[in-house]
Amino acid sequence: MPVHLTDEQMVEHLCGDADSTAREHLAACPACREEHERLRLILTQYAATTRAAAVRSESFWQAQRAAIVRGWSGPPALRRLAWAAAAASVVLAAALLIEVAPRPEPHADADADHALLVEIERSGRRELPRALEPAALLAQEVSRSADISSNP
Amino acid sequence: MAPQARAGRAQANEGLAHEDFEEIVRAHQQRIQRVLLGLVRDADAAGTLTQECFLRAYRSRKSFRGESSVGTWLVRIAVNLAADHLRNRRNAFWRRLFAGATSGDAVAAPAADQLPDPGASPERQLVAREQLQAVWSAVDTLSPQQRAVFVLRFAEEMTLEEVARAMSLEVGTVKAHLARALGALRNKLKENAPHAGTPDR
Repeated sequence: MPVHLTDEQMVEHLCGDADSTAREHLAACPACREEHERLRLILTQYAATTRAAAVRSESFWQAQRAAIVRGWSGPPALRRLAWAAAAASVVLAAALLIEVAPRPEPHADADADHALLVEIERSGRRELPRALEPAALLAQEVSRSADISSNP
Repeated sequence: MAPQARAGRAQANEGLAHEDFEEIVRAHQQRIQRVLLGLVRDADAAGTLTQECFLRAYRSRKSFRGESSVGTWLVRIAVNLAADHLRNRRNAFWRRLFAGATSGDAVAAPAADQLPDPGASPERQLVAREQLQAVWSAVDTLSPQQRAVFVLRFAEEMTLEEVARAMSLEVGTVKAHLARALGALRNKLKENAPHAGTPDR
């Protein structure tokens, strides 16, 4: 099967950017030459059709220019005023939210802190770590039983 | 210096002046509208996006540094706007539906009087219309970026370098996108005329 121009090579031909190998192939291959010509014609028609579809009357372009100019030259003072009003509303709303929002009970934190301090103090006073307290109780029980059996 | 010459000139590090802008719109609005029409295929949307394109350009006129021409800069803005529009096409569909407008279909298929050679025989016109329909269909299958590259190169007939500058791409990437688009077009043409002598690639 003969090797024909790839899409990449065909694009380069259509853009006038083909290398010498692709140019030589096109000169020697009737099938590729025919395909190239067909695509060139279709793309030329496509360009012409796109241009035709975009044709508008001068009044259309004038109206469009007027709309564009209106868009950028609207009253800037009014626009600035609108922005300032919007910014002021946001600030006011934020201030109201801060004022109205319920504040957390301060003593709750203080209570929690106090309870923690008491617990730490208790732990410090303990002779034994909390984990060894069951063992200590058992030892006390054993020694008490021993006292009872030795002094009936 | 004439306003148009000032508008088209790269004004390095100065941005564009307010007083030049009306002339810029006058010089470029038809091309921008055409590019947008090719990209979004909706006459109403193309008109709206053309206005938006110039408003965006106006707002960012101070940041224009003249690294490309004003025309290329505007095309870049237009391509970005069209990409956003195509992404939001579903919203546009609903807007059109509620507005009851049908102009979105106005450029979906080329009318007979839009064909380059209206004096050709009916048979020849039919073939030309089918071929153009194949181009439109192929363009529809492309990603927004591929579509933009195809429209700028083959509808606007910009050079590969101009397309690359407008799209902020390498020339090689532009060629790759065009090859993908051409492949889609050749497949569509083959579907429409399976016995035509398209050489195997």
